[in-house]
Amino acid sequence: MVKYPNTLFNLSLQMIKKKWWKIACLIFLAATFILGLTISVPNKFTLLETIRNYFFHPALWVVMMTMFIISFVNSIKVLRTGKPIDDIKAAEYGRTGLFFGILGLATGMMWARYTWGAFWSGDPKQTGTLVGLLIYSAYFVLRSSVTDGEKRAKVAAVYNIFAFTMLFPTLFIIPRMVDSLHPGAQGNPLINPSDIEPKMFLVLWCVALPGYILLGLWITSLRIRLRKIEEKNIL
Amino acid sequence: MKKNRLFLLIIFLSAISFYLNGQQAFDKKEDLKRALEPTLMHYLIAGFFLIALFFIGKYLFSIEKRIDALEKSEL
Repeated sequence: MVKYPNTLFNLSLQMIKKKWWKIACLIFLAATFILGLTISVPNKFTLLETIRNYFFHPALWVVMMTMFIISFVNSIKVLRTGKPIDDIKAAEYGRTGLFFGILGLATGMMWARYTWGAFWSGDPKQTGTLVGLLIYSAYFVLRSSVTDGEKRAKVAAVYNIFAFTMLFPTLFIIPRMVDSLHPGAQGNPLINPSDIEPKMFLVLWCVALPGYILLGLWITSLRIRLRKIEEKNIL
Repeated sequence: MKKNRLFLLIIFLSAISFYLNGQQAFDKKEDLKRALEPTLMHYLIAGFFLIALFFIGKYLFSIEKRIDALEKSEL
């Protein structure tokens, strides 16, 4: 093990080595804010300046899905191995996912206010999203209602698997089967570069998404460490 | 170690995505003829967001420092 003398340079070097992905997260996010607000964007009649929300709103959904996928995997691990740490991870990734989901819904509602005319217009995508998030919220209600740790982990894991699978019909299937104001069925600017200005697509996928995903992982890692300290008697 | 691999994967995929889509972006530059250009207000809002990000980062690092101290005291 190399011992570094405590000069300012070496201390900074050690900090960068230890926290490089957190620094990368902040750099990605700073670049998202700068590029998202200052690059030229297409002048679309209905969207106008609100098109810049493209750098913020879809990214929040991707982070939400990433967190929910990790939570889902940890729930399966709970059922297979019964380790308490997997239960903590499932709960905390789910919590961060829900937080980003609520932010996604809020930014979507603001966007809808200026392009569809109202914060809430009962659009299938909006309603499906709300239903999906409410189903996920029930996961936390269920967790807090069971006091026995082992039982709570198993019941919550089963419910989490159900909640995760319910996201697919509510978010992705039903809104595409009926008429919706939201893009999706007739083209998807999130996953198809030909549906959006390619420069915007690049900023979203190469700058915004890595930044937001790393932020989600950072917040969750802190919460997991806190929970580990709180529940050290079972670990 | 596993976490580091995950982050490297994210950065690697971002780089591939940049490479694959980059050329297309430059080819379609003409599309931006009718573009909305940034104004002073855009720069001000971006500055406000950056200040907010600075405080979020500072807050997260301070929490991390406190958790590190707690973990050390537990040991």
